[in-house]
Amino acid sequence: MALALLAVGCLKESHQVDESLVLQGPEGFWSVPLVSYAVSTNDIPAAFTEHLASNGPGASYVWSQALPQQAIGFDEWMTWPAASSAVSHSLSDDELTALNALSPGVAMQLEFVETIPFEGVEGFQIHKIALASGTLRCVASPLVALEATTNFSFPEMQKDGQPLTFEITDGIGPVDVDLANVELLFPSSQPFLTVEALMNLQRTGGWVAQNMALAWQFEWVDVAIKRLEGQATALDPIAFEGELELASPAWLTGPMGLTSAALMLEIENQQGLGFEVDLSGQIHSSSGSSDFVWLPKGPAAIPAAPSPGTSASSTLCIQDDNTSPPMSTWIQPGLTGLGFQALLSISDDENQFITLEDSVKLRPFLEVPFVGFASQIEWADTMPINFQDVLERQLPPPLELHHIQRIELHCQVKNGLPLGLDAQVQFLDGEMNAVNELFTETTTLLQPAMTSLLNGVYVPVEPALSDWSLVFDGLTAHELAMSDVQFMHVRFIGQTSDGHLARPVAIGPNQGLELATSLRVETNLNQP
Amino acid sequence: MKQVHLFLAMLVMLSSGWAQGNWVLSGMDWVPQSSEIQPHKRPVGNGFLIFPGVNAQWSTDWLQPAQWLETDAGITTLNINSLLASTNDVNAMNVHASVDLIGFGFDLGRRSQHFISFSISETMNASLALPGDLIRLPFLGNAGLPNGIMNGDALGFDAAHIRSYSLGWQGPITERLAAGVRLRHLRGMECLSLQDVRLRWNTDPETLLWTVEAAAAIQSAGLRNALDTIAGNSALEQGLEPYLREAGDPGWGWDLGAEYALNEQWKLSASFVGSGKIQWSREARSAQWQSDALQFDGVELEGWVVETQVLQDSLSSLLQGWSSWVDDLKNPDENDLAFEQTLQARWNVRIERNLGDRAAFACALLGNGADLTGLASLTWEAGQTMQANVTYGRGPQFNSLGAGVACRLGGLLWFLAVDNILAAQYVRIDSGEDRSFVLPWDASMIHGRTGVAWVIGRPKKTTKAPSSPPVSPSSRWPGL
Repeated sequence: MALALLAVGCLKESHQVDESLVLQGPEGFWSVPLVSYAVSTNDIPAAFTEHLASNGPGASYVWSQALPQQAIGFDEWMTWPAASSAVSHSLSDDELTALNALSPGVAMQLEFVETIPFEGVEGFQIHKIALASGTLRCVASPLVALEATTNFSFPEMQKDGQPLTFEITDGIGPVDVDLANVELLFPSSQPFLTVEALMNLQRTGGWVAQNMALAWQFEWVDVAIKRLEGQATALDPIAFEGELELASPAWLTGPMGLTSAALMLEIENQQGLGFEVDLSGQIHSSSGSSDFVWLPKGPAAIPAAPSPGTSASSTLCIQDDNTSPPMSTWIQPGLTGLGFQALLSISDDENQFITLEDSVKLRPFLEVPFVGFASQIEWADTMPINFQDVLERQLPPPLELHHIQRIELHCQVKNGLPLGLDAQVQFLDGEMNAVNELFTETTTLLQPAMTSLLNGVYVPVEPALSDWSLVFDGLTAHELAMSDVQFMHVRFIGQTSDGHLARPVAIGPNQGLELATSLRVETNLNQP
Repeated sequence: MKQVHLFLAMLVMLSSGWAQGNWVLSGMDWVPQSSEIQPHKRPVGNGFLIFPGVNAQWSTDWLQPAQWLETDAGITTLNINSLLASTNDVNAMNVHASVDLIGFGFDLGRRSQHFISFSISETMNASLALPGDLIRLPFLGNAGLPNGIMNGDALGFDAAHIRSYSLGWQGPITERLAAGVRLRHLRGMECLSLQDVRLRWNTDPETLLWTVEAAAAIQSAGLRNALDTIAGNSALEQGLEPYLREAGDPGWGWDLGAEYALNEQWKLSASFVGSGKIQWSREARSAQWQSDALQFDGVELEGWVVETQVLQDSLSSLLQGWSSWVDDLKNPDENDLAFEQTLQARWNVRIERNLGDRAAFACALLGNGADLTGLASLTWEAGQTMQANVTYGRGPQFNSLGAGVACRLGGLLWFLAVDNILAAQYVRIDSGEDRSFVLPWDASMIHGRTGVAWVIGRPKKTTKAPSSPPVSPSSRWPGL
C-alpha cells in the first residue's frame, strides 16, 4: 500500500511558469511626499522685519520705519553783538568850576549814570541773558591835567546776584572783567544796560579845560550766551520736512489696504519754547495711482521744557481714523515714497527760554499696523519635480510605468493667514515653458483661517485646512508619467475674503501657510 | 571552489530532512531511528548499527502555488489576489536537514531489559519569518496597506548547524510503564540569527507623511569558516576527518519519553524531545542596529521666496538626514560576547491501538511552540520483511499525507519515509538564462528520510500487553 502511495506521489511537473506568465493582481496605492513648503509671518525677510514688531499676541504686526532724527538748534540766536560800547561823561560847568577851585591833589567825587545800548533778538523779548563766558574789557581814555579813578557798577549785569562792579584808573591799562556766569537782566525789556559810575577826580596841576569829557570804551570779548530768557513775540515758524523711499515686499503684487496707518512725529523739546505743529504727510505710489494723503487734524501743541536742563517729549500722530470704516492707506507694489512736512510755530507763552546746548529734536516715523485688506498678495515658487524619475524609483517590480492607472498630485494646505488664497499649480518643462496639455483647471480657492472679531479687527484664531488634487486618469496618467515635466510652479494669490473694506483683518506673528504636496499613484497589474 | 561549503550546506538543507517531521517514521518501530521521536520505544532486536542516512524537510505556511497559480487554456496566470489572501501576518519558511553519521545500540542487563544507544548526527535548521506586510507591499503599495502601516517587525531569520552526540537508555519502569531518556551533547558549529527587528514604514493616510523606523539585532557564531572564500580553508574542504574533529561550541540537550500500556490493545505514550541549550562563544559576534524614527514629508522649503540655494540647502539637509540615519544603521553596537541559544522542544502525545498481530492504528498530538499538529497513523507489517506506514497529518494551515516503508533483508534494514506525498507535484519557474527552480504545487511541507541500518535480531509478533492480574515484573517490555 505504501509503495502504491509513493508511486502515486512520484514527482511530476504540474505547471511551468515562464515569460508568458500573466499577472492578475489587486490595485496598488503608492504615495510619496514630494515637497513641504511653509511660509510664516515669523519668517518675513529681514529687510522687512527689522522694522517689524508685534503689538501683542493675537494681534497684528506693526511695521514702522523712522527717518534720521533731526535737531533744531538755536545757535544764531546766541550770537553776541560784535560791537564795542562807548560810555562818556562831559564835565558840566558847575563840575568844572568846583574842580578848578580845588587845589591840585585834592579829590572830588563825581557820580553819573549812563547806558550801553543792547541789541536783542528779533521777535523775542529778552528778559534775561545768561552768559557762559566772555570778558568785558574797559579802556579809559587819557585825561589832561586830571587824574581819575572810576568805580563802575552794572545793576543789570549780575554775578551771584550782585551787580557787576570794577574800578579803573585812567592811564593804567585796560581792565578785563570776567563775564562767566554773569546774567544780564532786562526787567522791562529795555534795550540797554545801565552803567553807574562813581569817580574820584583830582587836578594834577593846571586848570581843567572846558568841555573836558571823560570817556571809556567797553569791549565785549568772546562773549558766549548760555541762555536766553524772555518771551517770543513774532518768531518765524520753523519748517521741517523729509522724504523716505520704501520698497514694498516682493510678494505684494496688488494694492494692499492698511487701516490705521499713521505718520508719527516724535519730538523731544529741550528748549523752553512751546510750539504748535502742523504735520502733514503723503504716500506716493510709483504705480501712478493717486497718492495717499494724511489729512492734518489741526495744530498740535508741544509743551516747552519746564526748566533748563530738562526736556518735554511728545509724539504727534496723524492718522485717518475719523471715518468709519477707517480709510485705508493704499500700498502699491513696487517702490513707494513717503513724504512729510512739519511746521513748528512758537507759541507766545511767557517765561520762555532758549539754551545754547539744547535743541528741539524731531524724529518722524511711519507706523503701519498690519490691519487692513489685501487685493492681491502673491507668493510664487518653482519646485523641481520629475514624475518619470519619481515613479520609476518608487514603483517596485513587478510594477512598471504602464501599470499606472491613476496619478493624483495631492496638495494639502494649512492656511493660518486671514487671507483667502487662490492656489494655482502649473507644470513646466526644462525650458520653463508651461505644459498645459495635461490639465485645464488648476486654480483652487483655499479658505482663510477662521477669525474672531477683536477690537473691530478680524484676528485669525485657527488655520483652515484645504485639500485639492490634480488627478490624471488612464492615458493622461501615462502621459504625465512619460512627460517632460521638470518643474512645478505654485502660486498663491491672497486676498481678504469678504471684500476690501468690509473685513479688515490683522496679520501678525505665528501666522503662516503650510503646503504639503504628495504623489499618490494607483497601479493595476492587470493593466496591459 | 571555496563556496563548496555553503553550497553543500544549502544542498543538504534542500535535499535532506528535518527531524521535527518524521511523522511517518514515528509509526515505524522497526527503524532504529524512530527512537529519535519516541525515546521510550524499545528498538527492535538486540542491537543495531546505523549507517549514514539523510533526513530533509522544507515547510512553509505561505508559498503554495496551487493557491495562486492558475492555468487555463495554456495560459498561466499568477493571481496575486489569491496570493495575498493566503498571506498571513507572519509567514514562515523552514528548512531542516540532518545527517545520521553513525549510530549503534545494544541491549543490556540480565534479561536484556535495558537498551543503550549512541549516535552522532549533524543537524541544520534554517527558518525565515516573513512579515505579511512585506509581501503585500509591492502589490498593495505603501498607501494601500491598512491604515498605511507597513509592519515588518516579525521579520526574523534563524539558522544553526549543530552536531549531536547522543547517548540513550530505554527500559521498563514497571510492568506497564516503560521509559526512555537520551542525553545529547551538542556542539554548535555555526549560528546566525536575525531578531528583535523593528521595521516600520508608516504612511499617514491624511498627510501622506512617511515615518520610517528600523532596528534589528544579529547574533552569529562560527561563521568565519563558512564565509571563508579562500579555497581549502574550511574543515569540510579538508576532508571528513578534520570536519568531524571541528569542535564547535558546547551545549547539552535531553529527550524524554514514556509509554504506558493500558491493556492488551491500547498504549498511551508521551515524549518530550529536542530541548537543549548551546553557549555560543566561538567567533561569537552580536550586533545591534538602532535608529530613531525618521520622518519624511518631502523636500522641505521655507521662506517667502524660495531661491535655488534654499532648495539646494533643503535637499542637502534632507540627504544629510537620510545619510545620518543610514550611518546610524551602519554603525551598530557590536560585541563579541558569548550568547546562549535555547533549542525549542517538541512534545508528542500518542495513543495506539493494536489491530491484531500485523497492524496498529495510532493517533497523536504534536506540539511545537504554539503550533499543534494532529496525526492519524496506520502501520502494517508483512511478515518479518516489511513494515509500512501511512500517516495523515493536519496542522495549522496545512495537511499532509505521508507514507513509509521499511524492508529487511536478513539483518539489513532499509527504510524510506516521506511525510507528504502530496508534494509530489511541483511547478517549475523559469528564472531566466535557462535556469529554473521548483516549488511544491500544493504542499506546505516536504519531507523525506531514508537510511540503512543493521539490526541484530528479528522482529516478532507483538507481545500481548499484560492483563490483570499483572504478569511477573520480570517480563520484558516490549518482549522479543
